Amino acid sequence: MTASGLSRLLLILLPLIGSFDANAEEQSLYARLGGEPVVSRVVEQTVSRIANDPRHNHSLAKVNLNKLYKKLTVHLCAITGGGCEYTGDDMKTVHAGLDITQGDNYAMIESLRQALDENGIGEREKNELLKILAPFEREVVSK
Amino acid sequence: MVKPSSLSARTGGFGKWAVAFLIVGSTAYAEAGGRLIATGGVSQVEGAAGGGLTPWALIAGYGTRDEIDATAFYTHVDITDFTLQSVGAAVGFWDRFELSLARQRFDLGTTVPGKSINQDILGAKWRIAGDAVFDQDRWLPQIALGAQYKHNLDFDLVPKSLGAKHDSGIDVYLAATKLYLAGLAGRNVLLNGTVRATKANQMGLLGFGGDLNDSYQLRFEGSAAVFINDRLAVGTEYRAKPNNLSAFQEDSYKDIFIAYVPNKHVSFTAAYASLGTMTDKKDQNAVYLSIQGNF
Repeated sequence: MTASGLSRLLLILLPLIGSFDANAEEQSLYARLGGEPVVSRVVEQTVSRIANDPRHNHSLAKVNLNKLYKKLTVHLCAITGGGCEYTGDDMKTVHAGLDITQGDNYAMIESLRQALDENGIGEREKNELLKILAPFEREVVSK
Repeated sequence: MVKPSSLSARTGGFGKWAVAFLIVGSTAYAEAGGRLIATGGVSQVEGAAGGGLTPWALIAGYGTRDEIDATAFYTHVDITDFTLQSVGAAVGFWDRFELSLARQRFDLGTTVPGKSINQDILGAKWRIAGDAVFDQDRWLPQIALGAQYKHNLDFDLVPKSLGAKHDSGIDVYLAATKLYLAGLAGRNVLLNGTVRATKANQMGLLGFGGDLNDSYQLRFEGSAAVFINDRLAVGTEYRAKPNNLSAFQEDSYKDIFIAYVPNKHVSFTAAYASLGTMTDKKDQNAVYLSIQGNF
């Protein structure tokens, strides 16, 4: 098979990756995730799974989970174009001294993606959210 | 880890034991490392973490900066007039270093009936900058410097008579890999570019250096993949190679692949490759099948 043959085959395969939704860009990511009801539910499912995981829950031991859910939901709203104003401390301050490892952070991301799946969120929104959250790794992981 | 005894297997049982070991071993052993699924790449045909043809800057396995994680693989490449098998293992240390070992067996088909060329490859890779996943706010890719020491065990059988100069050689490469989250139609896209300094003929299966050229040359290798979801990726690869032997032309390798990662313990890769001229046979195409276990 020639190089042009290979690229033709790729062009045939590319539509498999999903339809291009022209309207998707018009709404904020927050709205496309389903707004406050869905985001708050995703937050609670994500964090409570980690809080019940003995391998990763050490950083949540002394945390008021209900307060954390509310703050996280507002923070997500603020960084996904939902129009909320996040007035809490920055991510570095919030996570300082919690000895969060890279493994803890990866587990939180896995839990988040699982929660997004459980709430029927599409690949596009899942990936856009991770793209926004990924750089916080540098501020969250302290050990 | 694959035992040395199966790495040195030279008979037809080469693949059977490896596949059985991978399936039993990877499901029986403890948890894989903490990194996200499918972010360790698959096993490149020379043993490094990467695509099928090309080493990537990613470190083998799922180990975080606090973990050591290992992979093992078996790859079977059914080529028009030949068969190439590769078996090996890689260990990733703290998402920073990678050591790999592979044994390749290239059955010569009708070119030299009943004979095969075997090659051992010892690889090392060092991640020098960047994080392919987390650095979404920076243009900087994950960058790694690697080397592959290759020793052809059957140099006198064919490579020497074709004009190859050495039975062993060292490839040195620089790889840059980046994951673009939601990069194409909301799907995650992985791009990789690798530059390799090499004297190898057909990856070293036909020895190193030749009558046309016996010095290091830089060759480009590239990979592009789209993740349909976290467990399924499709992509394409390209690998340019030197042309050191006047006896037979050598062409670049190209492939299209699909990789399925059902869980963190095992992955399957299938590819269709165009390999060009190999020894006296032109227009060689191949079906590439690979299994990787994670330990």
